[in-house]
Amino acid sequence: MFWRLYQYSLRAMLRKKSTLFWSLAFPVVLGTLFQLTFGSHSEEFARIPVAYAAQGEVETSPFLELLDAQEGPGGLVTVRRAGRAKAEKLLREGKVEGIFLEKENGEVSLVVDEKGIGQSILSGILEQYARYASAFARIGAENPAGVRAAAEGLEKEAAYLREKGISDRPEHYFMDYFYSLLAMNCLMGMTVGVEIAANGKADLSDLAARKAASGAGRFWMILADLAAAVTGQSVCVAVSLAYLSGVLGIWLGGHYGLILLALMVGSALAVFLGAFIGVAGKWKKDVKEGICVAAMLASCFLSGLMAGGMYQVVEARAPIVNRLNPASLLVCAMRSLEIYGTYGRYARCVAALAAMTAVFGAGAYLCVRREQYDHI
Amino acid sequence: MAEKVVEIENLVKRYRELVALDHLCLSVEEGEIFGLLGPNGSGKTTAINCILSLLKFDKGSVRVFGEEMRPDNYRVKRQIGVAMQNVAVFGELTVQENIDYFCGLYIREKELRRQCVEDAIAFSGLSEFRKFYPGKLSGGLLRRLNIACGVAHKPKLIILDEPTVAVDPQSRNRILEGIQKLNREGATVIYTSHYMEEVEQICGRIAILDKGRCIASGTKEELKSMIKTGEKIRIEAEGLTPVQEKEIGELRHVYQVGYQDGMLEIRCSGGKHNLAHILEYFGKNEIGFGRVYAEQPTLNDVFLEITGKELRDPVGGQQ
Repeated sequence: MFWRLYQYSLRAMLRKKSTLFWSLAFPVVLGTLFQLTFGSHSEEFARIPVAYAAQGEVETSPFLELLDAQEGPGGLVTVRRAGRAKAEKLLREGKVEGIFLEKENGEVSLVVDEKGIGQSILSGILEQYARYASAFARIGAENPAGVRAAAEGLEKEAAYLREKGISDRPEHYFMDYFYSLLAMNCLMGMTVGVEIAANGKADLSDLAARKAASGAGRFWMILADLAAAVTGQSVCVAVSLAYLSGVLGIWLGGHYGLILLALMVGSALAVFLGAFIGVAGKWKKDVKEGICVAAMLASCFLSGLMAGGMYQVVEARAPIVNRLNPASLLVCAMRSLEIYGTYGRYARCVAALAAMTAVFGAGAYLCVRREQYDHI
Repeated sequence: MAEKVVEIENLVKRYRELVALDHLCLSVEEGEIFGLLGPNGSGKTTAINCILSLLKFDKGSVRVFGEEMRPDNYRVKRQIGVAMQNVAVFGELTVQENIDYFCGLYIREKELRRQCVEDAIAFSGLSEFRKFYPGKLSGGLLRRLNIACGVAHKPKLIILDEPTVAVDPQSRNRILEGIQKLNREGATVIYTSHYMEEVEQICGRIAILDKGRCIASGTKEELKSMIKTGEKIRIEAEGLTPVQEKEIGELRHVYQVGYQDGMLEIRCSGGKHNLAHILEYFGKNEIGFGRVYAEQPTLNDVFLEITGKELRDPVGGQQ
């Protein structure tokens, strides 16, 4: 019986136009708009334009080689070689964010005319170069035979930095929009949960009263509805994920299986939370749906859907909110996979989501286990 | 003696200060169509919800098939079919899927269920509409679907709560014929309505409810014999004087006379040839008259005489 009820419930859910719009079409449209808005900016920020000007005749130098490497795949800058006057003109016109000036003796300095993330990254490149140049000079002076080994070590570190990225790269702020979008996609399941509650509690709808009068156990009917809702919501989220990565070409850091797992747990949480809101209290269904929409928007706002970097702001000022906010937990889980490449933080976030799902599921069950009503 | 399918004893249900059911006592026997008749707000739906164990009640007992009715008494519930007052189907499932869904809440065996669904579709005349979604059906067809969902599993007890509200005459006749057919096939039916004609047409025994109380019950003949009115005569008569009106009131078996806007209304308390006696008086006194109507008392007359108000007076509020 469970399987048949599950099938019909899933069928009914996937045929409901409002559910399809909010859980499928809306995230796809919003994702497309995000891509149109942030896609080009992301590319610009990913490559920081910088000018290189040498004093005297400098054809090649270790620093130039470093810059060449940074222009390659996974690099951070695009370099324009120019004379000093031309370079300063480019800086004034805002066409470059800084000028690397290299003297004939190999000393390199950075000229910028404002402070920002791009300038910080250029400064970081210069500092890294200065540190390595100093180390190589010392090794060369003290142990010429160790230079080769040091160079190999440097190469590995450089490769590591390029492949793994660094967390304060500007495009991560844009990525948060997409992560939050996927989180919102999951949380759309809250309204589905309210619908299930309405169809499971005889004092909330005629359909629920009709089902309650039937010869089937209520527990199995509600469980089938919940399972179908989680499945349907997960399908919608999986389609959104596939669209973002496959059609729009947004790099979400790989680990798509784990991302999907987090999103499925998030969908389950949303459905159970919606069901809990649906069965708790004596407000009308419309009011409960309104509460769900408000909660979803607030949750997504705090995770950075409407304002990039909000997640970091909340993390700095009220980290407990990020530990409890479902959208923030989802964003954190997905970011942690991309940025850290380790699974500890991801596992903690998903476990927190699963724990909340269990809590709201138990709460919803306690509210509906009563099978007779004072008023229908 | 027929077995009692439903027994309600001293049922009391209060909604705060409002007493919805006031020591209601009813019994429904196996194989009958039992009518619950009453105006809106008389407690019919509340009584049904108590029988189905959806509503808590304050006092009394409900037994179905000899067992005390409880929310988790699924063995008894599986023998009950119900069509609620408001249509309760899935808008996103087709006619066939809806019937299959509800039938499946009672019958697990796939082949048996398939046959039951086909029978229900044929019974309700929805064959042409089996692939339609409920939103595309007319009010009458929707009511038929609601009933088909309730009876597809061939229950022993069928509860129909105002199944003909807002349906066209064709669908109404089909529904009433269908109910009689189900009854002939062995189902016991509880039928609630505020349409007295329907109840008179199909119900063997009737209970009249008012303000949560059963004010009268029995066969329609028994109910009509409870009241003074045996015959109601109306005559179009112009220029009737108060003296003549008084003299008509003194004729044998006549107990009430009213004259308004050229229409004379006379109530007789039984007896025979009342109309002939009255027309004889008209002839002797050379009183001209037009159309003449003679009616047997209706259930509305029963209700009117017992409660002092019309059966169809909209009381409103919770039922």
